[in-house]
Amino acid sequence: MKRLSGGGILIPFILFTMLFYFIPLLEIFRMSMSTGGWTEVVTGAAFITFLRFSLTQAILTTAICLLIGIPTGYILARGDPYLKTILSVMVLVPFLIPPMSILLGFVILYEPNGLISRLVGFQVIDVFGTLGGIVLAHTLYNISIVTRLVAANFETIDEEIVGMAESNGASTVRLWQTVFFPHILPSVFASALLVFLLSFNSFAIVLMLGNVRLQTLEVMIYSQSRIRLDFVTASKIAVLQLLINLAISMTYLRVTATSKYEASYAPKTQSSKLTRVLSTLWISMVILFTWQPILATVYQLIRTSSGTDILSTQYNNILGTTPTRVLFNTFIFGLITGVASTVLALTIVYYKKFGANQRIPMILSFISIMPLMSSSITLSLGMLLAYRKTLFFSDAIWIFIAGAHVLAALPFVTQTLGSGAEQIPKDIITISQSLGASKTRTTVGILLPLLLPSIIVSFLLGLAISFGEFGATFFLVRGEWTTVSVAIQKLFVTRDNILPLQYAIILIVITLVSFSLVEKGRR
Amino acid sequence: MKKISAFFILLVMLSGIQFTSASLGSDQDVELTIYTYDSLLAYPGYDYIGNFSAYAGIPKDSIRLVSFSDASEIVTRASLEKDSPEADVLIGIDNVLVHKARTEEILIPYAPSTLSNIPQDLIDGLASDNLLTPYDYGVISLYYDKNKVTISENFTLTDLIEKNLANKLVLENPLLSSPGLGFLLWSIAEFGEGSAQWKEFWEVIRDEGRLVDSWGDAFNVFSAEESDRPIMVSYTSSPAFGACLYGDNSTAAALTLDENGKVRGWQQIEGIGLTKNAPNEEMAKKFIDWFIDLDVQENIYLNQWMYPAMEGIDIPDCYSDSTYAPKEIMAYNDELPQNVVSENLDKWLDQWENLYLSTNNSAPFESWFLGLAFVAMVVIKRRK
Repeated sequence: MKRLSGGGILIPFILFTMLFYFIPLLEIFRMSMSTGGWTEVVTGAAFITFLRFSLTQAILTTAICLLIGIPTGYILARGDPYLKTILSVMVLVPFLIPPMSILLGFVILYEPNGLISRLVGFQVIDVFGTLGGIVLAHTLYNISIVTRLVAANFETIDEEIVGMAESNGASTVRLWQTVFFPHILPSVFASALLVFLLSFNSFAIVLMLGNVRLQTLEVMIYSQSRIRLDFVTASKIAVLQLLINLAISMTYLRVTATSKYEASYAPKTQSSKLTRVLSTLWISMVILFTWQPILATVYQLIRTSSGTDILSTQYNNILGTTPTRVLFNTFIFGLITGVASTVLALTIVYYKKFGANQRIPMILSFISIMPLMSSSITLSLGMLLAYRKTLFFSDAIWIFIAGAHVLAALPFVTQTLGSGAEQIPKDIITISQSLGASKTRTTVGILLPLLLPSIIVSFLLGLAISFGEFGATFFLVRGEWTTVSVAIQKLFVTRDNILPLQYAIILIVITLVSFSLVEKGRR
Repeated sequence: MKKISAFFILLVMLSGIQFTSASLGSDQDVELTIYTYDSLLAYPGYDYIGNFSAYAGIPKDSIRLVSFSDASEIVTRASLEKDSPEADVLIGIDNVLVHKARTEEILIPYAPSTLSNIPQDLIDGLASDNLLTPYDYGVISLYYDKNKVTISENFTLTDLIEKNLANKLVLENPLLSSPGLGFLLWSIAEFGEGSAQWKEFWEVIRDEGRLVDSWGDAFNVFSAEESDRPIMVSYTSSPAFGACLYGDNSTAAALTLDENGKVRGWQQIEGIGLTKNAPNEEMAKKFIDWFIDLDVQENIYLNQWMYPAMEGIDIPDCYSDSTYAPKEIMAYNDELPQNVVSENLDKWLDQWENLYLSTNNSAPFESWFLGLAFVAMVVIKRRK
């Protein structure tokens, strides 16, 4: 243990990020530089069209999400709705559901002969191959981010200032101009950037709803590499996309770093009964709107009484394996991701508590959030390029899929464990050590027990993120390692059948259970 | 907290049980792995796996079948795996995809013991070095519903534009689908690549036709009443499907009739090939020999809905009543021989893609929003 405090404990983390993150990224850079032709790529019709489309749909999605999300956040925080706790959890739910499940429900609702067409008698919106369809799907997904962040920001407003402005006769417009808007600006900015980043890098939704003209750069990287086998062009696009993401992420980090919400304790004036009823109604409408795909999936599953189910073998050829093995794969990847990301994050915490150099943990936690900036397709392309000639890549592809899942979970898990560890008073550890306990004893006897809630939350977070991961798995997977998310994609054309619906419900239920336990554990 | 721990323990136990049951069905006993597309011999269905297992005397479970939604996916998958291949046999690579398969070096030539079943012109049309062996062929056609749309006897591709048929058409993306690619080659052979006519043709198709990813998607659009797309890019044999199985003669296939009175179309020849460094090479060879022999070949007409590659198999009556016989058609492939296609394919696909990308219907909408975003940014900046 003594040797470890010298930094040896960080070896697994460094090794892991080297193998699964830095080497693949370097390989992409190397490949992109291997030939010239940058001008051809950058000025090519494909890149320009897809860049424009990525930007357009991301801006539209962000605008609509802000338009709905800001008022909803305001009402959630200040409109005093009934059942506020439950409603605010329900608002967040669609964001947590894996994209493939949302997509399945979305298409069941809006396809030409879908539930909505049958309900109203005509097709409301054509969702396949249209900008509107993609923006609608992204909007359903992302409204909750704006709502939650803005609501949290509204909660911290200084009631005395609001009261003062009101007693001085400020109109509603004036109140927004002078008090509310300046106060919530940081959360509006942060949520807008987050929604923009997520829609800009969207893969699953655009892959399934887009077409030859409507692709994000993420889908373009996929089709250049996996369909046309043109790895050089794919790498070039990946590098360009990475630079754009880097710019957005840096802005995001700057915005969030300068704005720490401060809580105020002044009591808020009681809302009238009418306001409360209207608020509840509004929030419920928004929930109904964003929950559409989930409700549609449940409805369709109840209605579909016949068909192949989870134990059948009819789809083995398409899935590349049996439906039960698909479930097993999903669980195994979830377990590995939960355990591995938690253990890796723990090593950082350990070093932070006992290590000599306090700058190292800071650098490491920055490294751990870096995967957020590089998309999942870019990372899996990097792994493919770096390791495709090795035996591991062909015989043990699961290692790379698991690696991609751990990378996806790492940013969230390190943050969770990091803030858990912050709450442990440094004194306790110092006292324990000054009383003669070794680092091992201090760790096992004090650190780990105190961290246990955070550890469990981290594990569940990793698990849930792995269950929902689509892009990297879809890119890398071979036959027998198909996961539930990929299986839904493969079975998409059979969406009226019971098996994809069951898979979607399994994903929804498991992520919901995990995240509600996460929320519980955090409190 | 106890509940959370219980959930965790339950999960671990569940996975443990799954793990043991999954490892029981491991890959230890695989004697043959086949990559193909999911519609191979599928309707109403000839059980080629079961029949081969009986023929070769190996258990059915020992044959691993992996299906993809299109043949092009077989090639990309096999080439990604080529350093340590999983598949022994690849079925469905056609006379266009063969070039990609060749450059990617995923196959090795193999001349089956039953090769004499196959006429030389098909062999030469696919791979004269036996990199692939033909098992069936078909001609890309416009398959249409006679009750909803009329197509004249002396049809040419120009009719799609001049007779306002393009808005009734559903076609497959040539980057993703082999019939879609066949249709692109048909148009290149008919108009000449890059010619003004060719460009004009595709501009109309782009704006009015409906492009989908795969044959299956196209068929769904074609069959759905409300989509009003009663013409699809398919095969000359497609009308036989309804005629033979349901006595339904409401569909037909259209091909070009040239000035000399010859029926013209792009011929697709599908082949079966042996993977380079196949793990089970002997069994793979046995399978290929069997696949181009009578057992399988006599089932091609009524299960695969293509023409069998083997000579001397009688064409069913329901075929000759509903569609062209293969001998009536003069393929365009002679105008676009193998070496020309292999040299130009990437360029043609790029041209096609650029043509599809060169329009932007959402432009005014888009600039409006970009402008709005800009204004918002300025406002926010000034507030600060």
